[in-house]
Amino acid sequence: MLLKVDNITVHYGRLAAVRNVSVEVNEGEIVCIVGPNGAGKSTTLLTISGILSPTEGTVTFSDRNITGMNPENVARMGISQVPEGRHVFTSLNVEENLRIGTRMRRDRAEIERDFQMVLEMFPVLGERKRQPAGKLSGGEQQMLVIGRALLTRPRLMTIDEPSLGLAPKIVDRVYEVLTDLRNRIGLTLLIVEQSSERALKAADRIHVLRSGQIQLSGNAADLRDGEKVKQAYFGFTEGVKHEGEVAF
Amino acid sequence: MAMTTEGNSAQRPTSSRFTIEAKSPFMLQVRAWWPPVLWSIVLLIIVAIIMLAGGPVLQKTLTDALIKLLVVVGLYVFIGNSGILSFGHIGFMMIGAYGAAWMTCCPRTKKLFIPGLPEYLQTHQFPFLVSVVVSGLLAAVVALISGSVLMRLSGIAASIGTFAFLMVMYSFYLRWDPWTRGASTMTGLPVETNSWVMLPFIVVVMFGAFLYARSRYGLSAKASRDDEVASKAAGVNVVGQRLLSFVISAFIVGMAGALFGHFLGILTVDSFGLPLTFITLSMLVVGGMQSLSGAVLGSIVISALFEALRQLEVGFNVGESVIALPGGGREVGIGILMLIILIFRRNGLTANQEIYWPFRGDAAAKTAMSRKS
Repeated sequence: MLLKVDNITVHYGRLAAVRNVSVEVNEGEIVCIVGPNGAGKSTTLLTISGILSPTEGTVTFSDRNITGMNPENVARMGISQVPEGRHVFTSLNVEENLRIGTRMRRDRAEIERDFQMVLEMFPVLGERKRQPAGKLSGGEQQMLVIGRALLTRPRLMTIDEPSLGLAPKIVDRVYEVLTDLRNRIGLTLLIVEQSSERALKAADRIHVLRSGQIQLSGNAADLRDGEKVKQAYFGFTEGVKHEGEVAF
Repeated sequence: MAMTTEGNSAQRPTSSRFTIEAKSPFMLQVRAWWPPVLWSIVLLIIVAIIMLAGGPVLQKTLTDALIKLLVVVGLYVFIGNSGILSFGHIGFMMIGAYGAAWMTCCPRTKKLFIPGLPEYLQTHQFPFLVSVVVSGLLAAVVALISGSVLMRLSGIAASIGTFAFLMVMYSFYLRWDPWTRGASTMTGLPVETNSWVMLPFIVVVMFGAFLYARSRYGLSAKASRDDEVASKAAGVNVVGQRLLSFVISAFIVGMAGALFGHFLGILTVDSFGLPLTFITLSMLVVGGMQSLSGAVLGSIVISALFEALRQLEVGFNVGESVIALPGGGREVGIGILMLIILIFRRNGLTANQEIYWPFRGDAAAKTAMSRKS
């Protein structure tokens, strides 16, 4: 198991944003966490990447306890984070943005190869190498951030709402790229998403999170008809247990 | 590819009718390093003209302006890359200046005026160049210590912290009689600095600052300036990168302080206060905070304006009467210029961009640049 989030509870002040959440990600898997606004999805990701610390529970990454480790060191461990809202470095140009991704690495030849791979995967980035990243369109910025994360050679990439504020066509393209990455280089992905439909299509396994608790976990293939997910997502049924595979 | 990058012209508006094909390795390097090369040439021309044709007063004014320019380039290394406004750097200038005094005043003066110095410093006298570099290092060490606390702050809190640093240093040196003569004037520094001496220091520092800004360290600092969260997520040690730029810039400003000491030959704590802080900051703001070209251009423009207004304050003889600006006209003039810049060009005269090779005809320059970063 690559990542094991074990029973974490995270507080903002006195408010518990996430309660007893457990998520596991195996090597080469795409796992999605879906849920409505304020469900605690981003909080879970921020806790994994070390920006927040859980009040209870542990985060283990490839058998090392990384709970409460600072973000730089988590990144160095091989968890690359794509934060919500396309955080490009606006005044740096596209190439410099990508170079930031390689700054933790020393293997020059490999870096060049990965660089070419990213440019090949996102040709538009190559065309706009010298443009300030702030001038790119939303979709291009999302590509840039994913490219930057890739250049760190992550063992796990976490992505927060890749579809946020993008046209449906661009979202399709983003997901195409993500699945392609898994198939081509065996990248492990943990994706947080509001739109459950998209997540069901791309993921191997999904977790539905609402009000800070896991409502439903399961293989995407089993849940593909969407009914159970919808119920868990919107909370139509009461008394759903979070430990059980499907508790209703 | 060359076709598609034409959309770049917004970033680099200067495309020239003249194209100079840079084929030789030397010319490619000149292109890649164009901003510091350009400003070295400009400053060489200015210095040459004034030193050969100007009067002694104008020559002194020029040296003073060049010292400020060096301070502004130092400020740019920190402010431009980390994005934190610093009000504290004149403190490093003071540390550098007094460091130079400790090293180069003659032993008799030191014994008389600053008896607190340790025996070794008291009895030895060091050459000019050693004094300048070691004074810079002294400022860098102080920056390392104070910065490891200050750089944990972000944004306006960090700026206020640097301001507090200036005030602490200022009060400290003002009362540290056995080392600094306190409120009295320290005399006896050998006068070594003139414009010709300043020039090589400025050139080396400009190349160094440009190299840093393009290096992985400079890029990391700029990434943390643009987006702190994302830079952390990309593995950037934000505090560490800020601290690095703080220390480098303090080193530069410390050297400028030492050169300043060797320019006047006398020092008072008084001269390292808020007026100097604000004039150097306004130079950086007017030029454009995020580029080396901005720092240099801003210094040149403000210094030139300052000198012109000073002449006006002295006044002209028109027939029998003298026409002159009222006293304080200089400060008002700088204030007005700042306002105009802030209203109409918020990113400074250079719009935060470097001035790149204007004679471009092919894509070679760009590839040379991209290899650098």
